Amino acid sequence: MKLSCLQENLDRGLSVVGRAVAVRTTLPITNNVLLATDQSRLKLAATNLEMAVSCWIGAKVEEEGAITVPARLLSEFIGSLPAEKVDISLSPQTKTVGLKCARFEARISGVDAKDFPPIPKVEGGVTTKVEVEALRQGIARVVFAAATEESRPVLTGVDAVFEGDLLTLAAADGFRLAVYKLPLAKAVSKKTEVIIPARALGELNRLIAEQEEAVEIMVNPDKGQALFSLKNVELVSQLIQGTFPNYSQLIPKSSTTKAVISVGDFLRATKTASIFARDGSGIVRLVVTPGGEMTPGKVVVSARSEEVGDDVGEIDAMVEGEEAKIAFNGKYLTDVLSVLGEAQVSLETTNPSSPGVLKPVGVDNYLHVVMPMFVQW
Amino acid sequence: MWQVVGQSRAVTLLQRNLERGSIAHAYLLVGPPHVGKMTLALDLARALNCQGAEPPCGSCDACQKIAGGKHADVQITGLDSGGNGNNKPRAEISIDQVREMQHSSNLPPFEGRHKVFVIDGAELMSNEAANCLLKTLEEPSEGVIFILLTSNDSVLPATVVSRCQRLELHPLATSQVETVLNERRLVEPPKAELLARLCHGRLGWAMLAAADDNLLQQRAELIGRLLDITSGDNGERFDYASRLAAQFSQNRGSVQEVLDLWLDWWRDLLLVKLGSGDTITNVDQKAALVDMGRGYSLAQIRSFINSIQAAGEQLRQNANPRLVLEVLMLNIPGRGGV
Repeated sequence: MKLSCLQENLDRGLSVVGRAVAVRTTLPITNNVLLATDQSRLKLAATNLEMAVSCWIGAKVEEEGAITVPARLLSEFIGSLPAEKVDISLSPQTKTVGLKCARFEARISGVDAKDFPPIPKVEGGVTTKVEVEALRQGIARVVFAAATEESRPVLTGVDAVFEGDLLTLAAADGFRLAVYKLPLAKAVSKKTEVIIPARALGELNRLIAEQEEAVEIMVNPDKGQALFSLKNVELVSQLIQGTFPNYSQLIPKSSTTKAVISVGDFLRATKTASIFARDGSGIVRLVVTPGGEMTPGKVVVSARSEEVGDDVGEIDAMVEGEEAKIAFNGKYLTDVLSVLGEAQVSLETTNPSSPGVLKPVGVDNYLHVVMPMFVQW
Repeated sequence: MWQVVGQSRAVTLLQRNLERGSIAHAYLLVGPPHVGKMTLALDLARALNCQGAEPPCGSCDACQKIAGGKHADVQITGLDSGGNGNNKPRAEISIDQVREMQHSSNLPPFEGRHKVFVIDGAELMSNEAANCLLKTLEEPSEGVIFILLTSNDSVLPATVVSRCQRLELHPLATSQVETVLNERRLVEPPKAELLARLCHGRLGWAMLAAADDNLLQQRAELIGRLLDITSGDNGERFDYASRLAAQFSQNRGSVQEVLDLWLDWWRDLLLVKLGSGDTITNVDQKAALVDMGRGYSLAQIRSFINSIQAAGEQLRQNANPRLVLEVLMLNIPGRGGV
């Protein structure tokens, strides 16, 4: 293997695949990154056996070949080089990669590329395309609601339903549920439901942050894999096996109180209350009062901690229906409020023991259900 | 080809399970150290992922990768696996390691057909780790198989044992070990015979000793010490006892090894004296044994064997090591009681 490429490109490529490199692993070679020539490009690939990221960068290839080298070592070295041409050569006998850039030279011992776990090829299944902005929004608004602990494995993923020209993403952790609907740029041939690990979607969101082209998605539920094709980058994720709970019955059909609140004010009031709620298992209390003829409606956000003290915040709101009292875990409110881009959000409640529903005002593709906490008023 | 030697009962059962497609979701392989548990576990992993006609064929990509420990779907978890960065030797298999396994067990196989998780030294799982594993062990995702290896299943929680199919692995016959050592040409025939006897039916140990001369050298040293001590006076014996006791606080296993070696030695004395010299363990020391045997009566040897066994038992029960070893030294019989 012999080739040359630009330091910036190689550095960027390594940072793209770097996040897929395994951290703690039983298979040491997954700490490595794969370097392989692919026609006139250099392919970089890394996997932690949960997802695999491949990235292609432009290179001048003189001799074909492939090798794996420790990912951290390589990216730290390349990252500290000046922005010039990097010459890469492999000595096949010793499996040593020689790197040369400006007046720096390094040799890194590699491991044979044929021992690297094969990056899965996703074939068959359904293919579709999504506009990148919609996907970014969708991932950001649901992924945080997925469970982090493993007791119910399906909840650590995001449920993705492809149907017609609509993609529904949903995540839940037993205390909250986030559902986002987004249009598909290309309709799917048949309805497909898969559970994508939240970690992989989080990584995908990071990768598409600077991209403008639509993302191609290929899903094969039988093989348990999904492929996301970006510009010069591919992410293959293993799918979580199992059935996602039927969440539609968890969404309240009606409500007795509906308050429309400014997102910014609501977020500030919740964050302030959370400071005091820290010692009191995160309980933030909301009292929603409808306005009179002369006075506007309001929401009072309060928290108290037996030992430290308490705080009360008041925000204006347009309230329909009756007065309501409800308590939530403050973290669940701040989590969802901080990802909303809209100016206003509506909060719908029925009684202190049934879930509250948050919906951004002006769009109807997102809803967030939060379970209340039981408190003595 | 199944790589494991002997263990026909376990192998037949697994083969039948494979043929019928009735592989259990979790196996518990029980047997003394170095008897072939890991080999059998890897055999099963290969059989489940083999691409050849006769699984486990041993020559296809999957088989070779598994044998080389490079297969993405065969994960071995033990004390020293899953480098946590600081390379500190762990005392137990932690709940974090189990959680990693559980996370990975919910994803489909990466390159093969089955995901196989091998837990080496399952008795070393912490209580939390074992409890955490229960749910997954009971109903793992499709295509996931757990293989737990242990030398002592009585310390495993009953809840874990009851969720696994238990297979016992037994020590091999001495002749069987000798044949294998000779067939694989690991050592010269006389050494093969010695190793076959020394390993007590644990082929893995014999192969280890064949590859690493240190083990035999250590044994020679220990035997030399034993001869010195038995012919020495009480001062030397007490010295040795206190050194062993100090060693015990660092590494329990090494003292147990000394006691095992003593036990073998005195058993050999008994055999030599009874005229069954062919069945002794330390074949290379026969002359020394015959010579030493002249000095003791059968009753003396028998009673000292009892002392060694009692000492081992007391050490396991956390008695004061120094006292136990000093008592053992005092019990060394005097010469000339024929």
